Amino acid sequence: MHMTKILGTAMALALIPLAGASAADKVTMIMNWTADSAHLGFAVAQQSGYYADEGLEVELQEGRGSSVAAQLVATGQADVGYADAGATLNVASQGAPVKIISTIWKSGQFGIQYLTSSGISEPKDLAGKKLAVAPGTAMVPLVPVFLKANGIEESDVEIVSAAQNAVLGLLTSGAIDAVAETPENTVVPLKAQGIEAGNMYFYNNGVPLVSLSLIAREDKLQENPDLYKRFLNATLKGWADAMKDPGAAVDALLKTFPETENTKDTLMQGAVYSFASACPGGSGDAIGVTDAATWDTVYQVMTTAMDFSSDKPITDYYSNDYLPAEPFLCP
Amino acid sequence: MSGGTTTAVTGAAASGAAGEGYDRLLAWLSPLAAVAAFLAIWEALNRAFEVPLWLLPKPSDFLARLVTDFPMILGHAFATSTTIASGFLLGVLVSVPLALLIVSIGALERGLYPVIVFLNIMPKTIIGPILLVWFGLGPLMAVMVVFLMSFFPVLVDAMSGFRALDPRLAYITRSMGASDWQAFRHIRLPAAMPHIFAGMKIGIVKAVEGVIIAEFIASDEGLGFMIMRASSFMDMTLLFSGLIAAAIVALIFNGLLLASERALMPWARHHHT
Amino acid sequence: MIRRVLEPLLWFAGLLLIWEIGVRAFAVPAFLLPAPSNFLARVVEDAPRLFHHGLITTRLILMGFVAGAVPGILLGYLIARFRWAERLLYPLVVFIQGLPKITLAPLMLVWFGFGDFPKVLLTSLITFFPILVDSVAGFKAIDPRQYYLCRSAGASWWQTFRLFELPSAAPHIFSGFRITIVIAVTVVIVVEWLNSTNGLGYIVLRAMDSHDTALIFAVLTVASTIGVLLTYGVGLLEGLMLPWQRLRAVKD
Repeated sequence: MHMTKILGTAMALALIPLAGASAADKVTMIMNWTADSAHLGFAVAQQSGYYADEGLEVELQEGRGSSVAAQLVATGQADVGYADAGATLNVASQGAPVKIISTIWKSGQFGIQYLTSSGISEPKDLAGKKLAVAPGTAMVPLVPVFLKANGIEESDVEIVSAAQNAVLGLLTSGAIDAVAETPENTVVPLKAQGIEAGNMYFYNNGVPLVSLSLIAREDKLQENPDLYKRFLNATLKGWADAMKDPGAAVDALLKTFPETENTKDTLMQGAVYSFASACPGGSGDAIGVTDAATWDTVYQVMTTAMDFSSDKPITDYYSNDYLPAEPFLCP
Repeated sequence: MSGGTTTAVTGAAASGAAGEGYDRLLAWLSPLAAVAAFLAIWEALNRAFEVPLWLLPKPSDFLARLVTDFPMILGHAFATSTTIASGFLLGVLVSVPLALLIVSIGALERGLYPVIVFLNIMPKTIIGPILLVWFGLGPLMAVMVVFLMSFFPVLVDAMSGFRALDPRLAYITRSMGASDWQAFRHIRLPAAMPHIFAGMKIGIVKAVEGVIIAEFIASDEGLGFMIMRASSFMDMTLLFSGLIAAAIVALIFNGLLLASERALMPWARHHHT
Repeated sequence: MIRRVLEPLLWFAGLLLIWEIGVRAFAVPAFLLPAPSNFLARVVEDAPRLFHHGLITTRLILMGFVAGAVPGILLGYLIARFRWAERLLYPLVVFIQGLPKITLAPLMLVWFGFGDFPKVLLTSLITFFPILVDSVAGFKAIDPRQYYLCRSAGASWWQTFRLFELPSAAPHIFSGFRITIVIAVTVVIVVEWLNSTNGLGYIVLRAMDSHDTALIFAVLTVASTIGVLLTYGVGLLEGLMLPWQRLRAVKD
């Protein structure tokens, strides 16, 4: 594997702190995936000049998966990462020096989507049905936890492993009854085909897990806490604005990421789900903040049901120290 | 290509019956040595540059998993191997006759070949889900993906193999009264064999690639399924054990091909230096 | 000449017609497999953008092809000529080929970022193998008696390689080129999907995210056309470099 040689050089480069981090306050944020409704708040903060107000020059970089984003932050190639909390904790538990500094999607969009015609309407109905789970995704460890939390034996459900781009076909052909995915990836496109589908979130059904979060490297946080505080302040302000005016937020996203193929229409539909995930507590919920008690519950679920290592306390994995003193509230 | 001329120059190793046995032992040991060397270099570089586990594990981190999880990994490797074998055989059985047909009929070469190229470029990650709806959940989709992946290299090489025969040789054979079948069986097919085997060596590696992709798309067992599952849990050591196991499966199939090549083309066994 | 252009076109027309009829007859949903009438219109509609990203992809295909071909032929020569190389290098190459490289793409992204280097490296890791195998077969097919004849006539190693061995192995090597050029297109699309901010694969990623299957197949049509054209290019190159092959084909 001759790339390991070059990897060494890359690693060496990565260990040099990003040049000029203090001079122009440039911040690179690597995203979990390409731009969609999960990134509305960042686009608003960018377009409304909130980052500029804080003296920051933020580059929003589209990514390829939460694990990759967490790894890029850990190697220092990005200053901030936007990644699923579960993926981040898994990378961090193997020694990657990253911490969660704010939770944007406080509840995940992950859940079970089912054909209305399949007769499923609550978790118990899944018994005897065929459920598809995409291999390699965060859903794989979550599904057993969800089933257990709802008193369903894993052996009662026929779980099949099928990739995300295969499940739509399988659902319409009747090969499967339900899928563990996000409603935006399943319910919305199925609806476009005239097929009715329902959704139940893991979050509301016994699996309280945080999802897309902002992460940073520990040494960078210690070196420049002020930079990260300013970044969070501007970002959360952007999210608060986005929720007040979704239309303007979608426009800001389309302006920030002109190459996206997502139409205004689908983004508006997605925004509903996105904001619901950001504000599971409804109006008055603090945007981006998950308190210590909730983190403890999350940790308990992960260590007891998901084989997550309990070697380190949960406080090693997150920090609320960089959040603004006065929280931005959900409208 | 005529045999027997150059045994002497292959050096001391190949002289005499004892040498033959020693030679065969070397043939089996050398892949092991190559793999060991590869893993040793990986280990050394990884240590030298202190690459962390979450970025790229060292062989010493994950090789133990191959032992501790051996029964599970073996089960997955067996499922994967069955799929490879069926898809690959199907690929060879379709592509060799098709190659002969394409080479023999000019219109097919001008028209059908570009269409095959066109269809071959369709990424299997997109074809897979469509096949899944046709063939349903089960191993058949994976077999079809393996077939599609391995069929093209064999086709192209078999085509060049069937073209490789000097036409003068064909005329001589026919002038001596050989039938169509005799000319094919004794002249044309043997001449094409080295090409076909080269195509199969490429095809088998593509088959391993294909089966992993197919198992990523949908599966309940197999090394691809295991790798994806490990990646869901960010279990880096199991993930890399899976990758190594897949590479070993490729080596074993390659070894089987080489053995059948030696059995089917004894005349090609000796070559210079 | 007219037949060379007309016949493939007729085949393609036939293929698309069957496709169109099949999709309509079985009422296949568009997100699974769109009808040609559906995505061919998108090729025209998005022509400027597809052309722009098509050029980027073509450049990467050619770079990955060359980066795979040069080591492929050289290693192939070593493996064919030297027993130790065949014994040690070839299994090593098969082993490395057997490692599912697509799983390396995210790692490469982490190590090298979005530049050209990781993309060319990843592509060449896959494209070099068919060329290597066919080169080995080509160099091995040479009658050793002819080799010794060359050397005994006073030809240097380089002269023997350039004037005798390489031309003798060339038909095999070109057959490897034909395989590789097609594989390269597929690989580059996947690599760009995983690890790029431009090119046709990147458009596929965008289209997949917005569930726009018509666009996906429009892109794939362009990619396949590039593959067919490059295949003709390899054939043309073969005709230029190995004129004796062409003469024989004509006599056939």
